[in-house]
Amino acid sequence: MRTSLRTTLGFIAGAVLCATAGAQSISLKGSDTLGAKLVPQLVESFKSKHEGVKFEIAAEGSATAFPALANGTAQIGMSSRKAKPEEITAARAKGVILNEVEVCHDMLVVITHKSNPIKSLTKDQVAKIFTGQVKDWSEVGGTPGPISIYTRNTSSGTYKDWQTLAMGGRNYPSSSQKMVGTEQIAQEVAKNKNGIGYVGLAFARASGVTAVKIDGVEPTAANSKKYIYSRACYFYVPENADALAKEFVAFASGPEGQEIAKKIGFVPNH
Amino acid sequence: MPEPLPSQAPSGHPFRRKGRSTEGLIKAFFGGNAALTIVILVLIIVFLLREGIGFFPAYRNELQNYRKSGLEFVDIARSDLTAHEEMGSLLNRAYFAQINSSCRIEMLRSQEAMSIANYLSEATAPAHDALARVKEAAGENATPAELLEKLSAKYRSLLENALAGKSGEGFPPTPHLSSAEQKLLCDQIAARDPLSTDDPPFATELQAALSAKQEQASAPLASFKEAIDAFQSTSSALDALVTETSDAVKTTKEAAVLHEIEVRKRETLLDAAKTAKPELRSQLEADAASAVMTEPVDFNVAMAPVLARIPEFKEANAALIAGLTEVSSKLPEAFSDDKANRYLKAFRAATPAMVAETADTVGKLEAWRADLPVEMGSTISGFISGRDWITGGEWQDFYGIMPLFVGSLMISVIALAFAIPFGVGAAIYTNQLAGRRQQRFVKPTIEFLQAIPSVVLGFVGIAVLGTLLQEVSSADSLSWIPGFPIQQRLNMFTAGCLLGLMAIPTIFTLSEDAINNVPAAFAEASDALGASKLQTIFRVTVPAAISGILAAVLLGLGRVIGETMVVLLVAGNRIQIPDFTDGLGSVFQPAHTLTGIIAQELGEVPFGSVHYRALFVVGILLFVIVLAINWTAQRLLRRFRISQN
Repeated sequence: MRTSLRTTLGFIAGAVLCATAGAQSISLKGSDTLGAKLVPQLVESFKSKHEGVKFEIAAEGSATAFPALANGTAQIGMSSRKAKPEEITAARAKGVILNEVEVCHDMLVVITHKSNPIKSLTKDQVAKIFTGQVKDWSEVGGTPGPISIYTRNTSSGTYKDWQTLAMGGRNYPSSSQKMVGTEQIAQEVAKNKNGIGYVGLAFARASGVTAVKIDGVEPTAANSKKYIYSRACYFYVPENADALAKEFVAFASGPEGQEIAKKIGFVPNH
Repeated sequence: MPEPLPSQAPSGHPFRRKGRSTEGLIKAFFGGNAALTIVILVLIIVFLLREGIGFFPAYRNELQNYRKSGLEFVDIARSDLTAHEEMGSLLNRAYFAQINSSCRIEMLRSQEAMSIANYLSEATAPAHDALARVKEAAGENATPAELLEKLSAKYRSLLENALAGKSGEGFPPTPHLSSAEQKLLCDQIAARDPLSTDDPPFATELQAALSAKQEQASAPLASFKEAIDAFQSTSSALDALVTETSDAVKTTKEAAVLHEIEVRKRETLLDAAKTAKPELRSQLEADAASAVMTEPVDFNVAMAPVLARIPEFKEANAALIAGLTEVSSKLPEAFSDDKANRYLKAFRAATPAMVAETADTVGKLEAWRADLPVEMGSTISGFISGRDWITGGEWQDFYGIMPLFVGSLMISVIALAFAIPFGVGAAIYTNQLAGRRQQRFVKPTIEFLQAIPSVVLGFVGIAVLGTLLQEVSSADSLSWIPGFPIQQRLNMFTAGCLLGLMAIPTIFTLSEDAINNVPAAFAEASDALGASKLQTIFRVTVPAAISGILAAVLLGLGRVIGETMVVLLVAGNRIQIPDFTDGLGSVFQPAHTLTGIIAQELGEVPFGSVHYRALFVVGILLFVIVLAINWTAQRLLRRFRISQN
């Protein structure tokens, strides 16, 4: 009796060990822009082909990707900006060589409350609003009311991209409100009739907000060449990453991944 | 206390054999636990101090770089530009306020039409979205007619429902549109294609009417507008100068930073090489050898062309002052609109200060020296009293905790304003007035509040309280309350309410204890003198327990200041000292807090950077504040214990 119990236990333990060894897991860390919508969808579609692969996605801002890659806690880093030289060095010092892969392009869309009569702004007006020079909607021809600016927080790649793309490198005014995620910006703008914010193209169709035309160009994927606020998003993969992680990256930048990106509202690589 | 006798463990028991009693072992175990806790506390403090202490020298170094590379110089000139922009914005707002005041009716009509259109499109959104998706998914293929039919029917039924005012919050009020106009608008929307998002013709008509009226109203103000434009263009010379010089100094700074990074990279790689495996070592060393590619920056040479432009700055500065005096003479006496007048008054009031400030700038620019060392004292005072907390920026990071501190303080005050009356009141009632059965119900219920996790409260704050307050505040009958209607759903008031809720159990439990501990003789003596129940409570019992109640309030305050999740989610995260000109209404502004900034930024800062250390210093500050509060509370409690004896 006792022996049979022991054998059973042994078998169970063995089975558990085999199962954990067999289930490969890939951990992705970094950008909220990529990690909130696109990557989960890519993962779903990738999983349907590779049974038993587990994914962990932590989307807390591009800056979180690089320390995680260097420490080996992530196999793939997601970033909505290019890695800084010191981030590459820090990883290199730990023996990790990072490869950069362009996943897709993203457009940053200016959103306002849906009742705001302003549906179009010029590049100059956007810069003035976000740097705090223009404080009232009436100054750009809207219904009078103080402008409330919603931005991402400082760890976000989008925060810095927007500074370079739209604000000429100037600082955000202290009156801006720093939100934890893109989704939150869309929510708050939808609740504040004097609100303005920027989101990735994938979030521009959120309810309660209007995507503003910039210099007369509508922010749609079709206009990606004419639209001025657009940028590339990247995956960073260590050179010695395992085959499965590399396969996932190849899948994401391949035709199927690009199709998914397009469906969600990103602009595929050309 | 006498030592407990050794237990009578049977001989041969393992403890017995080693000559130790069971009690001794248990004592050692608990004593060890207590010692370990204290050791951990000391380690935490040491860790905090070790990480934080490096901040001030590093920040000072950063400020020194800010000065050396000339960013400070450009910022001096830029401050005039910012002030000028602000003044221009005031005039523009006055101008538009005056125009809009004469088009109020048209504007309201247009807005109301818009709100009807929005209401209807929101009500039909599910069907509309589904239709759009089906069409998109089908692409060139024909869409299944059956599905289309079904969705269209759904769309029509939703639209009918909405037209009858049964959807959402009902039909929006439209006091400035006649019922015929309203009907026309609804008919136009009902008639348009379900997928179309074009504005109905009537709304466009109203918009056009508004534009026409605005144009008409702007005609008499043409000379004012000209004056504004002329005023705004006087800054163009300075603007160009600042842009050009800021590009130059930024390049200098970037080159300096790059060189620093390269030097550090070499060090990091060499360090790594020391401990690396032999096969990796040679490669790392080779990397290190080729790490530093740039020359160190000579700041004096780099700054020379910028400093050579001081005469140009002088000229631009004079143009700014001239523009200001000129526009002041051209301003109209007063406007018919109150708001426009207020802006005009603000402009007039700010003019002398701006002229004085602008006149000072040239002197400041000439006196500016790149090699002046940044004092340690000014670094520390800049951290404590600085009004800017700017991080992760392109230009220069500043760490000034004033706005965060004020935010934390304001939210705590609001929270206590709620928690004290509720907590202390409930304690007095439960202990003195309530019957036994009520006591048995009230006490655990209030203490149960403590069991709600703060992140859940945060969600409640965003989804329920914030939205509710915002909706209630927009009612016309409440517009007399300062700060109403509330603009920002996430603000200090909402956060303060929730934190108050969290502090109530602490304040309640401890105050109740304090009142309970007042010797019964006090109340009995008061009764014997013929005092009524309420007189006894308010003149005898509560004053006798006051130090305990104060301690309870302080401990509640400690809990509120240290709370993170709720303020991070609900306070609105705006790093700015609230604008106190709104009076009481300023509690409805968003703010950021000491705890919130750590939670929001610590996860993402590079390890060991200045920013990382700054957050640790904020942590130390918080620690000291909470420690001081708790210490004071303990002191008060001790005093109160004496009164009991």
